[in-house]
Amino acid sequence: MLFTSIVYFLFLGISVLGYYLLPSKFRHYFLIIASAVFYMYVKPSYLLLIAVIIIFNYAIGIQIEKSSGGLRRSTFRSLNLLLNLGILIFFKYWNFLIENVFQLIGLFSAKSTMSIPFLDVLLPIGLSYYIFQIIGYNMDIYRGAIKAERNIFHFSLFVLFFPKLLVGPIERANRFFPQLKKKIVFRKENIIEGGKRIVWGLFKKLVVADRISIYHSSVVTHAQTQSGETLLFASLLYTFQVYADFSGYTDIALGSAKMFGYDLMENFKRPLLAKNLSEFWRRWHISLSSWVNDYIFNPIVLKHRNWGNRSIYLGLFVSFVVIGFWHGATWSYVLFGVLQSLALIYEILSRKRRIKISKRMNRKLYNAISILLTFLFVTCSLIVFQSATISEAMNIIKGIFVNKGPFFYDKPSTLLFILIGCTIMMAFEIPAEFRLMKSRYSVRSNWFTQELSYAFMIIYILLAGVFDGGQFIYFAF
Amino acid sequence: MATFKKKKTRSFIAKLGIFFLMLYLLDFSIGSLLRKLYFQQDSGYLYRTTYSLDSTKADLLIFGASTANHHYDPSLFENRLQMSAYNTGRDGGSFFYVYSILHAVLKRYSPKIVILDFNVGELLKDQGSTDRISFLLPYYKNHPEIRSVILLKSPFEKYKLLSKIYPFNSLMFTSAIRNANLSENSKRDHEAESGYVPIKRVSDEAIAYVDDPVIHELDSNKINLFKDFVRECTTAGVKLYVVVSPSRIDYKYEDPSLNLAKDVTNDFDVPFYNFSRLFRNSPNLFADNLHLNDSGAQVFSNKIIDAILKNDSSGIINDKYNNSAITGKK
Repeated sequence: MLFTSIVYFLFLGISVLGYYLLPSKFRHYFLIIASAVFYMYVKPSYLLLIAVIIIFNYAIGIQIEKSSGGLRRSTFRSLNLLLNLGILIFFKYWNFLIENVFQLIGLFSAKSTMSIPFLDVLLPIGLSYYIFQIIGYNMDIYRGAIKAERNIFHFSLFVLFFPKLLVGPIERANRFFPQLKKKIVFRKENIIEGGKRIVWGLFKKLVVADRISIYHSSVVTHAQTQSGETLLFASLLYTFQVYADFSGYTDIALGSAKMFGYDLMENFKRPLLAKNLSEFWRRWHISLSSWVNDYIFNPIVLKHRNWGNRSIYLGLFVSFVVIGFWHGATWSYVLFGVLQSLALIYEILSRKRRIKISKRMNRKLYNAISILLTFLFVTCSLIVFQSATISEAMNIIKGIFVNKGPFFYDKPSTLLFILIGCTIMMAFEIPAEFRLMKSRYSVRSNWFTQELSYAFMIIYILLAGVFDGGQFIYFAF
Repeated sequence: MATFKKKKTRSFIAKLGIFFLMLYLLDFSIGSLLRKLYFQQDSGYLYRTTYSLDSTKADLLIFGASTANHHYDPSLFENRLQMSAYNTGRDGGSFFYVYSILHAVLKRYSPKIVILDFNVGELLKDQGSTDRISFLLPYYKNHPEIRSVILLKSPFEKYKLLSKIYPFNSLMFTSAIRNANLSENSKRDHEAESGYVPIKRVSDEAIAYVDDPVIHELDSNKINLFKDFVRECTTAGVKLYVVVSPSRIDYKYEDPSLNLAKDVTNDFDVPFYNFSRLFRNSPNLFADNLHLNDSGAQVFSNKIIDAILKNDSSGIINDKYNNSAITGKK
């Protein structure tokens, strides 16, 4: 059930209506059932998997809390990691790992007659998100940061809550569980704010991301025949596409949750306007980067603190390889992660020099150049991210510098749709970032202006949104 | 307190009402403007669809997707067969589109000859081709005869079409630019008044081999529409030819669409010509592996005309050139 489909909005509308019509003591159960129905719509059998994961981790969390001894506690913690990561590896990484193991074996043996035991299993949608969420929950209990949730229905809702089930955010227990303890009261402000967030998410997803995607995929499919300027332009647009796609989906998720009275964690904070890469990763996919920071980076740095800065470098390297790998089972994702870590290490090493430069330059100019350079680095690393293989990425990067030919933009209307969409998106982000003017979404704004602006936004989505695969570019001509 | 709550609720409902009224008025006014701009176009691919549906009265019509649009030059048909000809082919046109054009045409008149350019995989289940029913959305209002096809796009299409803007989704700039005659291609489009759009490129691609073990499912809607296409032509007394165009793609598997098309055309005694291997070793006639260039289209069109003439038992065609051999030169 795509967040941009009519089926989803019908489902959301019915769920919200049912939720508030029911007495408040039944609402959590209703949400669990609605979330289960949502997940079953994707594939019914995966509901069994998530049910097993919920029951197991509910029990593990309680056992970790109950265990007073270090060994018993550690055993349950290890069990938490083993089972949850085991499930993730089985569904997402088995074929990648086994293929690489066999390739490694093949390097040492002249002839191999063994066939690679690939598994033909479909990855359950959302698995990476809720597995990380559950691991985080159990680790927080282990550290004594939170208490284990004793109400299995609350725990089930923590895992299953449908707005965040498929694409996150990777919610934290200490943010979510307190909200479940509060009494839920219907507030029209929640419906309105949720609705606004959803409309903005639809705009980013349908008008910006999906529109760029048509152009970008047709360019990249014929990368070898495209000019350098075309490849560069498509790559730059791809950065906007990924941001608009992911943050748009997140907006719809957060808006949907808001309608039920829940506040999920923010996942993006205008990352395209970051002045350096470390700031970028504090603004991009915040739920993932903060999770990795809390459960991988900090423990590594703490464990090896006697290494000095080298512990930070190691922490960064491991963290970003994990982040790369989390996105998918290919070497291009791993390389993407490695590139981020190397760039961040460079930023640490060059920090003093950059501060010196910033003091000598005009502040606004320095910030503008910093934003541009960060954007260009992200664009370059996203070329690796979006390529199926590393050699494909290298071909595109090489093509940017050597390919000759005319600049391809399909039709003037294609360019106009893309540029207008990006401009509108950034027209909201830039003032909010630099506090140039009062945000249009301030509740103190005139209600008529707000209503009119959202009406125009919906109209523009109808005019320019990509609703299906009916849009295409016939590159050949 | 209760009065205050009542007032707040009434105010909320009033604001909600104003919001929906705003939406309706904007949708109505902008949608009406878009409709005007769309149907005011006098060139380009959108205009050609409108012309095909509403206006053409050519004796010979060519139907299909991009291979139809770029492979058949109506001027050659007109010269040799001494009858008017028009190419209704459109890039990306799925069989839903093709059938709808024919169905709307037959409502107005019966052409003498119809050539259906049929592609490998034409009748397979494919979400993209279902999505491209969107080509027909602007015609939903004025063409009740094709509404049943349009509604195959999705179960919610009827409700989406309540919006006046929705049928013109993604078309506003194209319509505006064409109305202002600002398009770089407007000269070329005005020259494409017969519907044929030539491609000037010469291919530098090697032959592609497609060895696809994936089982392809046929689309039952497309199968029914194909049978209706053939049946309606036959019933209307139209001489139908089903043609598979040349390509430089070697399919290593049997396409179920082609097999079905052969069976159906056989049942209705309709000529079926498979020219897929015709120019396989002549890359100079191709723009890419799937499409002929202008030179190739000239040669191919004459080939089709030869086939039509050979097949003409009713004597309705008066061949100006008396079936002279074609040597590959224009």
